[in-house]
Amino acid sequence: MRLWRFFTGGDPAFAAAVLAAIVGAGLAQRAGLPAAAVGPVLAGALALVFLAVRPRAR
Amino acid sequence: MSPSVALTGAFGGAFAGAFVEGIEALTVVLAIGVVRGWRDTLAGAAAAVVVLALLAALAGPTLAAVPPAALRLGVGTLILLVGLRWLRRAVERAAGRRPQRDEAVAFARTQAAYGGQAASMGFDRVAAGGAFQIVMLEGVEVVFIVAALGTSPPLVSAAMAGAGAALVIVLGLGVALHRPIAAVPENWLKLGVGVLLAAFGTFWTGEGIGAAWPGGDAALLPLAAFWAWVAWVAVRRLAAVA
Repeated sequence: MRLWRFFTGGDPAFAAAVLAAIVGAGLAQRAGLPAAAVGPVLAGALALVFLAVRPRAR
Repeated sequence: MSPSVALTGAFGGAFAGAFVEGIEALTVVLAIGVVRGWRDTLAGAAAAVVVLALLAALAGPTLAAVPPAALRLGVGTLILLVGLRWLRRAVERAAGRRPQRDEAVAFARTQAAYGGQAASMGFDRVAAGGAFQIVMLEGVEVVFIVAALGTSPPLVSAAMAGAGAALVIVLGLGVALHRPIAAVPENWLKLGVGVLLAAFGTFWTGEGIGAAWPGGDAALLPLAAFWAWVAWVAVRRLAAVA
């Protein structure tokens, strides 16, 4: 439980969104996205998650 | 150019991360030692260092047995989870949405908490337990940062050197000053470590899912610049809402 909290920071929605961005970029690579474009797509998806998911109210 | 970028990033990130975590642990250990006595406080802190060293020694060979692509994806994902959380907290502090950490306040609060508990005649479990807990807590983060930034033998050496240098400086300052180190831009250092962890996490996760980064390891530099820009945008947006 503590390990889960260490990696999610008590904000599972944010952690799930980060994981979804990684899985999405991985699927895009499998679907034929050029290898040189995978990195920028991943970075962009993560940045969107970072800016879009608001911190959980404390 | 590319190896030096990665080495400098690993050294600098581990140094800054270990420095801020070391300062936080030192504040609590100093506060406990002042109110409860030094012998058992230092014994608790030393026990935690031994446990952390054992954990680090066990983690190295275990990780070496994992296939490189899976290791990069796994480690990169974990770095992103921790690094982006770290970066988000730093952004909230910079935007005034979370209180800035103040070592003097933390020192006074810990002294009040531990000074109010009953004194022990023999072995002081409260002092040893408190020191053990805080050194373990902050130490696990340092071990994680070193493992996260050191994903190849040269990077491990650079990250360990960075963390080691930071811990020696913090320890030296603690012994010399005997009071918390408050005059350090801790919150900005945390922002910098968050940016570096996000850059390394993006890089390794990308490698794990088949990305071909232009320039190889040198891509870490634009990635760090990109995450610094994202953090700046996030600070401005949060500050505007506040």
